[in-house]
Amino acid sequence: MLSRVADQIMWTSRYIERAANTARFLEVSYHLNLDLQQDDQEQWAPLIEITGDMQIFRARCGEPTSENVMHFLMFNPEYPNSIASCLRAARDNAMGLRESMPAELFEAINILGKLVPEATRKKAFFHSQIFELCREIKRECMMISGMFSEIIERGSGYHFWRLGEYMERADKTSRLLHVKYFYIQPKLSDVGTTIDDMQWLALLLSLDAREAYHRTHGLIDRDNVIHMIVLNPAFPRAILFCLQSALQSLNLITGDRQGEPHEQLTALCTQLENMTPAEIIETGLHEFIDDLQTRMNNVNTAIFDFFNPDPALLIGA
Amino acid sequence: MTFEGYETESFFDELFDNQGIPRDCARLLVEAIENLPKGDLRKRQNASERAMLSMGITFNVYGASEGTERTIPFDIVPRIIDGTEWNAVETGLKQRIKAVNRFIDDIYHRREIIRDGVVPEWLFTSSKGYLPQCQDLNPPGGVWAHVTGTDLVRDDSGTFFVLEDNLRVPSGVSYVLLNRTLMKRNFPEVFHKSQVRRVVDYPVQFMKMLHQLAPEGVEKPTVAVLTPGVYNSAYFEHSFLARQMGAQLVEGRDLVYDGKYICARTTEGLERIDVIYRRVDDAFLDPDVFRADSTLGCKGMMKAFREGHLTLANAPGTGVADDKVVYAFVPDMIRYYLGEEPLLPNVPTHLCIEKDALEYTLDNLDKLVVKPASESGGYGMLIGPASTARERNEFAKVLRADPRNYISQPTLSLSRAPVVAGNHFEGRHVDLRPYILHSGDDSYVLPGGLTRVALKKGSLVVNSSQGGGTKDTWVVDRIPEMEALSC
Repeated sequence: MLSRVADQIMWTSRYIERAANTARFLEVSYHLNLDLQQDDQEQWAPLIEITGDMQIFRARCGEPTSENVMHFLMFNPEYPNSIASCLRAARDNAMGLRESMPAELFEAINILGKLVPEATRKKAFFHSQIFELCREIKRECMMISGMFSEIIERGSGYHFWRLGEYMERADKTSRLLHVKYFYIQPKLSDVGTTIDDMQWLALLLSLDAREAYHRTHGLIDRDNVIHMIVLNPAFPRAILFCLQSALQSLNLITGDRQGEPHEQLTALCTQLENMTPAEIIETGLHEFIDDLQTRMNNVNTAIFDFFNPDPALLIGA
Repeated sequence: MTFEGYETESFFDELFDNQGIPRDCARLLVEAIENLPKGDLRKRQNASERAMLSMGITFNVYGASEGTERTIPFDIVPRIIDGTEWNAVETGLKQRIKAVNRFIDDIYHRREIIRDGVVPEWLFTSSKGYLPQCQDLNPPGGVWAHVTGTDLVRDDSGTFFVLEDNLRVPSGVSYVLLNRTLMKRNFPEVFHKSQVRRVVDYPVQFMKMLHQLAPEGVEKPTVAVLTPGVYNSAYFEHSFLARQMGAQLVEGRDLVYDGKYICARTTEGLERIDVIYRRVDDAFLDPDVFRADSTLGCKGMMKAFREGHLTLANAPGTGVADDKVVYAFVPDMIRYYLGEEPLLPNVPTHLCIEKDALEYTLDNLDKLVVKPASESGGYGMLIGPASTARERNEFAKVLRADPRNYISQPTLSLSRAPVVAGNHFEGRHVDLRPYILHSGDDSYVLPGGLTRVALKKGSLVVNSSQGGGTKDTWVVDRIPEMEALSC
């Protein structure tokens, strides 16, 4: 497979996953906001913080009020990580993949790319609409991922798609956890209270994990939540699950040809497999996530380098 | 819908004679259409256009805002050509393409045709498509123009003329294949009974030809289609052909020269490419040799080609013969290289570089069609009878300033074919672009080709960039007796 095509497949799935995750954050935050009746900014600033783009936001939109944040993350065409931008980028990438993609899959991505720009942006309609729009985006993204499962042969194209999707999801889950712990630093008096519980619940909710959590663990407990979304090898949005799935796809693409990304990803999985929630807290959640994100970034770079080797080196070989 | 009241007027109509009686080859179709329930034809037409949109058969409009995609309008009434008549056209096309290939090869080698005084020397030295970098190149099999899309027109007597030879990167063949798919769905029975010659094997014929002309000693060549990328107006066609031929679709940035071969950068490492069907213009192929700022090609491509490690289709430099002045000499080339009389006539052409011809052209601007020698797509031309006095004055200045770059031809009364216009049929002017694959010893001619139709009433311009549409073209071999038939 052409290196460019492999890269475009990974980016298409990455952008779709990124848009879906942002839609999840927005939807859950909106709900939580309605329930808590909290001061606006305390609730909404973290949504921008997790994207790591607070500076861009402040320069363009000013204060992180609920409307500003929602508008920025949903519609802003110049902000590359807004839902509108991600879906457009996914569509642009898919255009270059038409000859290697079934028509109905391209059509679905094509239609999704036009969904947000065609939605009305009037603030008056905003509140009633944003919620439905988030749900629709989430549903369509899952549908595309599902189509991929159902109609694509299990060749390298399929596994590049999964590789992009799972690496993106692991990153987004880690950022979500980061926000909860670092930016909504629980006041000592809040720990174990309704507020604390609500925030953990919101976190589970945005990962579609709330009911599964209650079935397995019952009441909210910090260590159990961390286990569920970081260390659980069976829950499809848990970081460990994502990394293991990414590794699996990577191995299926390359077979015996192992290299840097394989080593790094294997090491990361092994570390998480042997960890407990208590150890994560001991390390410090902030430090743990920071380290995790750096290492995942390194894996992404290693993947790119592995599949796009410098031609000068190949010619010499 | 019926053809009652359909007027051929004074034009040659492809489906009806001048008495309004269906031609023998079109009789089955006309009956079938007239037997359809009321409103059915329009329904089929609309369904076909929707199908094109959802299949993504679109082209990007140059200069329009981002994401502007359109489909080329498709008319559901096919144009029909009698098989016997087609055989003569086919033979004429093969003859022509053979002579043109000999000419290009000669120009880049000993130039005997000039030494023998058959064509003047200024002819190639002043041709924009002439590339000195191609001197003494020897493409496999001596083939330069592998794929040609010759434009044919018929005048009011029904005679076929060659209007131009598109030897560089002719487009549109994907529409022939897709139009056919749609038409088989719409008129399966007429189609079956008429014994329409098939076009479906074009991609296979194409692939076979490319295999045959692969670099020497390569048994199973790797073939790639080179596209400028998704923003090119014909990107759909590039990706369609790649899929149909089973070739890799590549862009310039996917390629690298390893010192001997052109290779694709793949996830497994470098993969050698033996044959490239390029849909990128000469000037952009190799920044080392042509335009240095090009990112659409690959450094080293010309070297690999020159040294025989790569086949390029069409070969660079082919454009020397894709010039409307050179076109005027093709009949002489046929006589010179093949010792035969041309089977397909040219449209009579005045070369403005000749003093008398220039004067004649200037005196008759209101009657003639004047075309730039090396433009395509219908740009920069003057259609005398449809022009204003002011346009003619402006054009006369341009013409005097650069006579070498212009030719003039009489305004032909192009043939017409019926199209669906609202709830009845109207005649519209058509041309025909058959596609010819040349492999040196022999040529394959796609039966029929792309019929382009000027959908604007009275218009003579069929280019899709200027409001033209397409029709399926049937070459039929069986002209049945009158028999009852319904779809």
